[in-house]
Amino acid sequence: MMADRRKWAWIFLAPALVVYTVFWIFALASGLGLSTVRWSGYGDIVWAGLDNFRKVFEYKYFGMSLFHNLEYAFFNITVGTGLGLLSALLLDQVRRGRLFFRVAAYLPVVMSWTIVAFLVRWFLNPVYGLMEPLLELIGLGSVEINWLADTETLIRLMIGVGIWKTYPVAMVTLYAALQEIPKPLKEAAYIDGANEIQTTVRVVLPLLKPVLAVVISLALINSFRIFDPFYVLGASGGQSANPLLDVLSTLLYRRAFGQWEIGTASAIGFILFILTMSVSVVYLRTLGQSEDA
Amino acid sequence: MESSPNISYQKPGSFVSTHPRVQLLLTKLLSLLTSIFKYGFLGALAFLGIVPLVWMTFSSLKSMGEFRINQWLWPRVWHWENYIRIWEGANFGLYFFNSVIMTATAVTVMIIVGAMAGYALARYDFPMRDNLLYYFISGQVVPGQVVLIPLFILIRFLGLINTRLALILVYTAAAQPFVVFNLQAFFKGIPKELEEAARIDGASEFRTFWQIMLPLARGGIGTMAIFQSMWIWNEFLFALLFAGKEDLRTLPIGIFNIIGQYYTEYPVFFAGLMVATLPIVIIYLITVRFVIRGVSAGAVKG
Repeated sequence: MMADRRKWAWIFLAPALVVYTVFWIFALASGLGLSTVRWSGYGDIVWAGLDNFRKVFEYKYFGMSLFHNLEYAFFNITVGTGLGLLSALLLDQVRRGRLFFRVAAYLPVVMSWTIVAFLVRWFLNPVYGLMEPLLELIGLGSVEINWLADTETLIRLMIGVGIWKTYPVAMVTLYAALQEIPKPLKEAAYIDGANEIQTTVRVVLPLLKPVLAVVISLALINSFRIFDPFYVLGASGGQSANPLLDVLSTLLYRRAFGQWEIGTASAIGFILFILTMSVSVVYLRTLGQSEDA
Repeated sequence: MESSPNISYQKPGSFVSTHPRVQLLLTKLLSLLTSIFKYGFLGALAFLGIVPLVWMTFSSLKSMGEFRINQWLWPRVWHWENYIRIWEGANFGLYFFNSVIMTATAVTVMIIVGAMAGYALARYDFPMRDNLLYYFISGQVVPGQVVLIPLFILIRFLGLINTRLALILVYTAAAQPFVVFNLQAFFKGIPKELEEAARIDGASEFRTFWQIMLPLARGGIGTMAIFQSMWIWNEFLFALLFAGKEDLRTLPIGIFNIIGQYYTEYPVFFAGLMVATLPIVIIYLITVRFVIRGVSAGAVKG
């Protein structure tokens, strides 16, 4: 009977185990392996050792792509998490409309990045876009800049839009964590004469620390993964891709499926993996600590 | 509990009158100002969340002529035919159909597969069970881009490029860490009595799972299904690579490919963007309580 039940456990596990192992774990392992070969996707595979990594580091757009990721991560963590924290704290203090504010602010998260990236492109269009009329509205007059050609501005704008599209996750998460804080703790602080701000800084924020660590780690991981908006922005409209708009993942994609340099593309993937893994290790360690405490 | 203003204490050299009434008025004014700030701030964020959608809706219903001169407000004449034009003119009917099919099949498969595994991990006792759970969870942090190249080679080797099956397999694999972990936790929370009663009645293991446990887990399964549907509906990277062929394109890929062709007719194109956005926004609004609870639970519990 026991053995029979055990057999059933494996039957239930089998489909998930097979699909997940073949199409995720095995793929991951071979992806890391492919970073050490020279291959065009067809024909012979040649061992290349660490040569691909040397090539990647020498590649002139690599540093810039990595910098864009770091820039995105930096603003996402500071401004994005900051905004999420501030709005969660305010949400916790208002009496009316809590659900409405959350539902409305969360809408951008539900929207597709492809569409959002298109709206950004359209927004900046010098003829039909809204950037020019908006500048006129606030009295800056017509500056007639071709925004779409100014890649640095585009990147910053995309970072701003990225914050708009991701901070609600931090807000909703932190707000939920705030609801878990026992009311008597806050009331005790008020009775001791602390005002709202003092209570928040001394009592509430320390209790939010573990959740904040999770929120920041996830924001970091997502900043390294970000692909859709930069790909759409850089490659749509029938134009050739613009390498000045690359982040690591778009660089990888175009190296692999544009130039068929499987080896160097996989090396970029390896670097991406190391970056996200190091964040995850820190994140799991904080989780472990908060559970011990 | 608001701390009451200490009116008996007079600060030396204070310019503010300490008359109790003035004090009270000041306190009231201050609390009014802070709540104006709070509601104003949250209102602005809510406005920023809603306005692009409203603006897109308005724009999708204008004629090109009106769109040029009336960029901000609602249309004076509502051109519903823009939707018919994008639906028929740019294969949007096909893209929509593909998105629906893809989302429905991939989500169904990944949840059935994940529920079976989650059930086994929650209810059966066998060696290596905990290790297996960790094995599933560990894939969560792997970025899709890192497995993209080997997946492409593997799927080409299997002869599955430009098939729906390729995407279903990839999505199912990618979703397992999240689905297995969450459903395993959900199954653990269901009392064992019903299941045991079914066994005593002689139901087979599979029937017990399919007819007793699965319906009992519908809360957890529903939340999973909503999250995964939102992801698949908007998914871009894998769909770009594995379903780039015209007759398999989902809405994001279809839109990506016709950007440029429709520059001359923005309102019609915006109608297309609405076709891709509305279904998921409607599902979100219907299930919003699940979504918001799910987001918070996901991160609070790790």
